[in-house]
Amino acid sequence: MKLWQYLSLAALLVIGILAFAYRCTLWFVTREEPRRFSTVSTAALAEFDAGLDDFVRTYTPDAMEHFERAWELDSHFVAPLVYMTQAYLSNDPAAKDLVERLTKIDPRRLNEREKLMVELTISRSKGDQKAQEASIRALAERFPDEPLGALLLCELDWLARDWDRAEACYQKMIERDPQLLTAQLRLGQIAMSRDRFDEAEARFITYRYVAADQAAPHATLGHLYTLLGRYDESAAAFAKALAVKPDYCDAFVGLTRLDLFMGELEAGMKVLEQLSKIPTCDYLESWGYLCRRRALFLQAAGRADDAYELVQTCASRHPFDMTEHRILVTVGQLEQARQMEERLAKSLAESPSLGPEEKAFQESLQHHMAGSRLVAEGRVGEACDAYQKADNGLLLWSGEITAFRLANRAFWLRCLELAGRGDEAERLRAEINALNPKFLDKYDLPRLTSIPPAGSAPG
Amino acid sequence: MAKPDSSPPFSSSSITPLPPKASASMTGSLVTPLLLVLGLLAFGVAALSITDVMVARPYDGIVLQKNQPDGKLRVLSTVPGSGAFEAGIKPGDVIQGIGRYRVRDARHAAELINRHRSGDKISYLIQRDGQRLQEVEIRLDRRSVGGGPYFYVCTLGFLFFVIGLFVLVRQPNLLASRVFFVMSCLFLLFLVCRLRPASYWGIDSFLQSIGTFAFLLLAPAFLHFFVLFPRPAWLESLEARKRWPVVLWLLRKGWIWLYVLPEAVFAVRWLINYFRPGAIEWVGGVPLSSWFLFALYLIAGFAALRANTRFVESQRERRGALIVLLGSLFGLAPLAIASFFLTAGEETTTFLLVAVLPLALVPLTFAYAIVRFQFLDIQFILRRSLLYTVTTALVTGLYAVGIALVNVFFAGSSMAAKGLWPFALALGVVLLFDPLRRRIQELLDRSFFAGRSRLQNALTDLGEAMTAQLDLQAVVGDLVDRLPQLLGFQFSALYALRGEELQRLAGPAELPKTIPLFPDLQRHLAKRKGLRRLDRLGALTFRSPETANFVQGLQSVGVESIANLASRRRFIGLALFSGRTSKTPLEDEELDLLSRLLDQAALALETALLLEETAKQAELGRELEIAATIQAQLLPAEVQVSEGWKVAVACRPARVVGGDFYSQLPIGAHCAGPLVFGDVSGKSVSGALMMMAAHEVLFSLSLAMPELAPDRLFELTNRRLCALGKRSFVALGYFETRRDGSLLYQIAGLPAPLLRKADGRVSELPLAEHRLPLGALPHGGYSALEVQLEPGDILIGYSDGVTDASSPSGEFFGEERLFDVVRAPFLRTPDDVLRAVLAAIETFAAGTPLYDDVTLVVVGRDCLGRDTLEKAP
Repeated sequence: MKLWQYLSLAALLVIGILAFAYRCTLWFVTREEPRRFSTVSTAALAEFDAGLDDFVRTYTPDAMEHFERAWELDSHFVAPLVYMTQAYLSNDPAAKDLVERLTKIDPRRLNEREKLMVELTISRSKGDQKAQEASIRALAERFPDEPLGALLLCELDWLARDWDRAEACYQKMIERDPQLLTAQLRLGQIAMSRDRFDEAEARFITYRYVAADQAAPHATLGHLYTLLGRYDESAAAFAKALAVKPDYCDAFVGLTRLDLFMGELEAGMKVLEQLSKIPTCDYLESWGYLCRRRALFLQAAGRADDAYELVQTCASRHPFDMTEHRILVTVGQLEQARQMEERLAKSLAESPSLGPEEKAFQESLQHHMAGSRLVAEGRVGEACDAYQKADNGLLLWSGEITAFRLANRAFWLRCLELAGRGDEAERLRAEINALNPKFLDKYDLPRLTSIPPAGSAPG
Repeated sequence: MAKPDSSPPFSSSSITPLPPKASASMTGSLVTPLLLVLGLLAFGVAALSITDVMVARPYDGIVLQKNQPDGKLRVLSTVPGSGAFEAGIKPGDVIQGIGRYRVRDARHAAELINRHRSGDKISYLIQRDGQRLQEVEIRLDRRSVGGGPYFYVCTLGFLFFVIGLFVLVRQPNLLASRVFFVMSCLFLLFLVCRLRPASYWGIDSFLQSIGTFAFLLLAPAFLHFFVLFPRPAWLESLEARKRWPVVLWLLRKGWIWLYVLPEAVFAVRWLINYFRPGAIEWVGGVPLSSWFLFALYLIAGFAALRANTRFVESQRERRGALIVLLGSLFGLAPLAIASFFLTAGEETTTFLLVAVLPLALVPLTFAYAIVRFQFLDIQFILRRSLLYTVTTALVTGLYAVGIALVNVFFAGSSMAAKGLWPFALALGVVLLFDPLRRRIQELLDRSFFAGRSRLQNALTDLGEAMTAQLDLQAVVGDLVDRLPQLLGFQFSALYALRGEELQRLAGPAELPKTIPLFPDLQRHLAKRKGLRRLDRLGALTFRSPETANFVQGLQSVGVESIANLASRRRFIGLALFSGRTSKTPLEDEELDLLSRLLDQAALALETALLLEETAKQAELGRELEIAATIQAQLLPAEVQVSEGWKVAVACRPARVVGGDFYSQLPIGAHCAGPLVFGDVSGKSVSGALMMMAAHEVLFSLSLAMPELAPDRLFELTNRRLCALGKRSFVALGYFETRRDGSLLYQIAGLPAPLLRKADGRVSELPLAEHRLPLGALPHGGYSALEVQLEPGDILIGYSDGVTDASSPSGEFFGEERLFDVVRAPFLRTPDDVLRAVLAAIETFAAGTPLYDDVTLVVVGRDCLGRDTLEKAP
């Protein structure tokens, strides 16, 4: 054979090989995977997938729309209904309506995955915890690619405060589906609770990146930055959250905490005023949260008496509220403060079913209250031990706990200084500064407590 | 004429058994296509990689680092001017998200990017320095991943591949060339797939894996080749000394294990890494142990080459091998070292300069060694092909620049805006490209291949000289003496077809004088024109043992190639050629040149042979003319008949000399002798000879026995002619006129004479029972008859040539027409009848040559008595 014949043959073969490779690639890309659901409507499935995509990225309203359309396209398609129920509390009428629709679907048409999903939903609506847990485990084990099962399985560990298991579970989920933002959020929270703040920030930034047009990720980052003393970034994050959703209550709450930490009390009061005017945040008023927060700001402003008067008028007064206790101590109502501590102790003793984390929190609260009262009574040494016990019981950095934990450390530090335990005080100061270098400078502790300034004798 | 040899051209006892490599060539004939298929697969994969890299897509301009153990999308570099470049993306940045989605892997990234269009700005989540995450807006452009460096490595890869392909096509049966081709394919895959810029697209990991696989196999192929290159002298020396049997076995028969080992090591390390992530250290996408193994193979390869260099005797080979050694060392060592030590961030610039740039030394030194030192028996064709490729590339580049300039010049003009503009441009390129390339090529040929050009010219001159040559011996001399001198053959030989065998016209005495015709060989050579190497007739010899013996015999006396000499019209003979004094086989281009020359030689030989035959025929013609003259002189100038009779005679031979005759026997002193006329079977010379024999016998008998009766005369003549044993017959007629108006006639084998009465009636004369031609049977039994003619009656005796005369359409003249002619009323004398019959035959034949001799003897009664007639014209 001549060279040109070889080359012609080669060219033909190459064309053939390329065509074959193209066909293989096409097949590989477009190959069908085993059917997940029993629906035969590709349009319904496409809508469902779009909804799922939004669901895992916490775009719940968008997800609900897609799920609704998917169900309209195929009224025997149970998966959209199952996911829609997750958006509501189990006792919500909307959820009950969805469950009713689910029960009307002929179970013989469902495949195994769908049956498990329906079982899970029904047991949840019935409030049958054991059956619900069994369904979650069965679904997650049998179909690990189903986000619902995997997510709820991890939530079981999260609710049980089993951080190790929860972290491993969420990590596994996120490896399977990096868009699953609930897992991203939870992992960030777990990282925070374990003082891995860089990791937490990365998680929250990722959370914000994927759901940039939601307010929650911005606010989450804002809370983190507040804790870490990155107040400018925190303010920007809350502002961004409010830009996305002007009535986002959590961002306002975060801003008030930020203002408290920064000592910007007037600004904080204004934020509280704004918050009180937002209809969707009415629940904060009805819970008495805004009232107590105003009292706290009055106390921080040195108007303890006004704060005392205000706190007496707050709605939904709690038998053992930390803010109220602190105001009582500041205004010298030590007996009332002691009574509040006793109510808390009694409550703890009468609530054996409390979860470990909740119990630890309430015990910490009890120690903190005792510490504050003991300082006012001049029993500084005992007070320092009480603050230390309170700190030992606080393991999380989230929401109100963040503020409580930091405040407790500040009290503990002043207590150590008063007690003349300089080395311990320095170590604690370094620890607080490492976490939030601005906190001790800006947090006006003397106005918040009865503790005299460092160096002065207790009065 | 020499007596042909009765023994076969090469007796079986003289045949040396075929060497093992000849039988191995059957297996080899399967290996080469298989290798070509593998090569095509490699080519296809490489083409796929290039297509993937070069195709323009929405692209951010990020080039990823490859083989990241943590699976992260880490930036290697950014394309200058791209969206990523302008957004400040830096090498080492890790892409965490694209378009508000967390990125799983490169394939997912490709999918996310493909959701957008060119020009879109999409948000990237980038992690810098392993710490802070930040969002960056990056604009997507339509561009390809590949750039100049990749084009460079692809060029290197394909250069190597082309060299390997040429070597394999030129020397398909050489083990070293096969290994070289495999190595070339692996180099191609390694360079094109392994050093490709990592793209996002899904096919990337597949191609990278192919590149890794090629990398692992490259080292054993390298070692394998260097053990065999330029010759396996070191191995042969080990075999001769019977040392290191394990190494010998491994390098001779256990190659598969050497090829499998790197893959096995890789697989084991991969499995360990799979089950215990991080347990294995990976460098450049392969385990560290694979690098050590690669280095080990490389060192062993260099050592083998060095050892071969020591053992080869030729200074030329040693120099060539040394150049290859240095080229490979300086080409590959930087790549290995740089791949091992350079960090990913340095790859873009430093890696290219330090590692990839010197890699060009490898194919270039191989090509130089092959061309300069004719390694692997490759000659100038490779050099020329490479030069042609370079020329074509240069012309292409020139055109690209030209087109760019034209585009720039006409940019914005109304002409450029027209839809036909690109077509016009393309047409211009197509029309001008080849002429320009040819011009440049001619210049290059004259500059670089003067020797080749001289040889080509010399062969052309020789061909023209042969074509102009009319002398057979001169043509044979050109083929057997001048051609071997030009092409460096040790000898050549020429056989020409003589009858049913081929006769040696020229050539060494070791070759047989004659060769029988081998139909299968004949068919094979006729089917595949030109010169055929005997060692490539494996399949043919396999089918036919006789031909195999013949071919083996030719090979045993040093014949290397064979060619049919045939014109369009006929087969002329065979040309045989020995090997060359340089021991190098003919290149295909030389074979083509020689084939064309042999075609010219065949024409020249045919012309010379035709001329020779014509000359012989001319000689024969002259001799025939003499014979015709003699024959004509045998016929009597005039014939006589008895008183009261008239006679007219004619004899027209169908050829120059004929088999018919007439004569007057010398019997009777006072009366005219009887007339005899005859027709001899056979024409031309043989017929004439028989006719003369019959004539002489009749005459001699008549002279010896004047009183001999006609029947006795015929019988004696018959015996004599039978005794000649020529299996030839003579049809004879006998007319004896008498004064009383009677006529004695005797017919043997001739048609019955016609009697035309004075009133115009025509009838056939009765014939005797026994009238066989003379010479047919030994015993005759002839008898004469008598007929009385009246005044005015005419008797016509004739040979069958009269009735067998044919028209142009093939129709015979026949007896009826003869009757009609003779019956014509205006005929009065024998002469009238004779002229009328001859004229009718001439008219009927209308120029068609006579099929048979025509003889007419016409006698008639006349009241005037004795008459004498001249022979008819």
